[in-house]
Amino acid sequence: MKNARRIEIALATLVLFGLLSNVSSAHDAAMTMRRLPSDSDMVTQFGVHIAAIRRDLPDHGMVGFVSEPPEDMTVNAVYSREWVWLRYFLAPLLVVPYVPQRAWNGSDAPPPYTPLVIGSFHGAAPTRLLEEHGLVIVKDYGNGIMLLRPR
Amino acid sequence: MMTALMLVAALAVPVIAGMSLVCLLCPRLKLGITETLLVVSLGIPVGFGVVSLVLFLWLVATNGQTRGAAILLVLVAVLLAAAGIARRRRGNGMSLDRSSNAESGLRWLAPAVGFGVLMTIGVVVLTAIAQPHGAWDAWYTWNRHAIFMQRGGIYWRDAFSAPETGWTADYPLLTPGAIASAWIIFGRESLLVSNAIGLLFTIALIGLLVSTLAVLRSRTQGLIAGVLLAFSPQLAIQGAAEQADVPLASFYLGTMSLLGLYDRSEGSRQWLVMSGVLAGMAAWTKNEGLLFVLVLCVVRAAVVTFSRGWRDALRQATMFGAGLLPVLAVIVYFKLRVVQAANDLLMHQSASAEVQRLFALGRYWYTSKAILAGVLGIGGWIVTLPAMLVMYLLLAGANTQRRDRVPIATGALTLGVMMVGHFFVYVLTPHDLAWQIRASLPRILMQLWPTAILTFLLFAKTVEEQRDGDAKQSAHATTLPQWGVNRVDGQPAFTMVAKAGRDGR
Repeated sequence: MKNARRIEIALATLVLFGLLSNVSSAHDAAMTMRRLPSDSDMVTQFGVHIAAIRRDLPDHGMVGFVSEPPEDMTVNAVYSREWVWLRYFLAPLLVVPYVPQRAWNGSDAPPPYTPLVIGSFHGAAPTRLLEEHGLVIVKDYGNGIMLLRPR
Repeated sequence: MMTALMLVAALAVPVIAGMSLVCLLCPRLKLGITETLLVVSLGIPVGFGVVSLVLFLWLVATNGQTRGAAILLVLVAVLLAAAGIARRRRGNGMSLDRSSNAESGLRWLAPAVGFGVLMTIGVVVLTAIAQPHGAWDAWYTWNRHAIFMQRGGIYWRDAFSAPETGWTADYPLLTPGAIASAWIIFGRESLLVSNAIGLLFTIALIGLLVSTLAVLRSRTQGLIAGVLLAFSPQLAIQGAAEQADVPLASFYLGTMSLLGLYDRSEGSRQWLVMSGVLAGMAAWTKNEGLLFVLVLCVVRAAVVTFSRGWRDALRQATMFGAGLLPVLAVIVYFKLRVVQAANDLLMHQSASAEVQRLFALGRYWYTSKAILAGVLGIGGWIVTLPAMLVMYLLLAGANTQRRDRVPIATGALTLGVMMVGHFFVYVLTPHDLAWQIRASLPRILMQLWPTAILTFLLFAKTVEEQRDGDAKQSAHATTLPQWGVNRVDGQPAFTMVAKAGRDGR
């Protein structure tokens, strides 16, 4: 068999595998779309979830964010996801992880002062966490989202 | 209807600006199908790069005011288009020196690539419907920074301020600037715009790869490249993710393509200038682009010095630098005057911890294993594509033409050194190694994948060359018997003819 003929067969095999790969990928994308609850994705749903607090926040400046620990992006997927989505939806307002001023040990740069703090919780109101962070509730939106301020 | 028209206008302005700049800076071309595909595919990424640079400079000059920015962006596109048209009218364009115009006979390849492109578009659209806000980095960095640029006003610099101590606060602004520019022309923020930009970059990437290889090697080689890229599911997934990896891949590929075109058409130094612009835009897209510029400059200087002498290397560096430096100047300004947040990879580093990581052999082993697994699964095919490509190379053979040695060496060495660079970024990362590799390796490989395909198919013989080789072999074989009768074993000539006829088919 001529070499060019062998290459043709190799190319046809390549195209076949390519087609199968793409069909599989298209199927996955279609399945993801079909699985979407109530015609919207998680990010859009979170945007709706925080719509009420959004109206009570300034357009710019800086607010804090607090949620159930651990407050570590690489470990706590829910914490990191909600913090990132808040940053995204509230831009150009800055949302930074809340660190109480009194927790500053003096060695690093002091934590930024945030007059308002957004709380996002998934169970009962975490009174102990708020106590530890020295935060008081300004407004409870009833869906786990709270507007807080440092005591 | 009005929304659709405004969307088209928002995307057309950058594309027209980019195509015009390509026509202005590159040698004047006779626009056949391949050349038109090349200009359009280059014009899309270049155009989004241009509008992002213009918007950034406008925001710096006006302290964040976007009023008037739409007029400026349209004006830039109109002026560039007028200059481009004027240049084309001045004389006939040159034809690109094609390696091969021969017909390969593989007529089914073009429809296969077309189908692959349609499938890619389909997957991008479906994924965009399922995830209209894109993926993680789109929320975390690109679309968010676009919001700051579009409606941050005097607070637009807050996105790069010191409290932004997370990741990527110092990432450059090509992608956010492109999205914000399109929003400004469109008149409002819309997910349609960022999704459409992702799709345009994805299609342009395939077009650029196909047209470059069609010029540098052969039409069939271009189409094979199209198959390899368009059928890679990872491309569509990344294209819909609204992240900066597909744009970065476009700029890597564009830079290498134009260097290849320069190597082919000696004397047309305009290719080098445009190549420098594209390299600059890679650095304006992501910090990895800075690594690319550094590696490419060193590799190219070494390869050209070795093959053509240091004078030629210096001449090429001058022209390349003429395109690169203006963009680099903007990046330096951005990094020094706008960004106040620390880079996440540097801020958590201490010398002792770095040394400790540098000598932790386990990190080398883990990173090597992860990179090897990533390379073997590149493109996201259902088969191990690199193994298939090795088999293909064994079948096709290597391209030994002297004129292709410089672009092949430039591509292969740049890719190799880039991978070594990324390897050490992983080894030294202050973040959790497994997390960092999981989060970034597939995207880094996707950035390099189109350039790897370009280099691979520059190195592999074309189907046309194989046909020529077969034809020569057949011709040689039919003359062999008489020569064999006299010289080898004295068998009757008709036996040898029959044998040669069978083998030569």
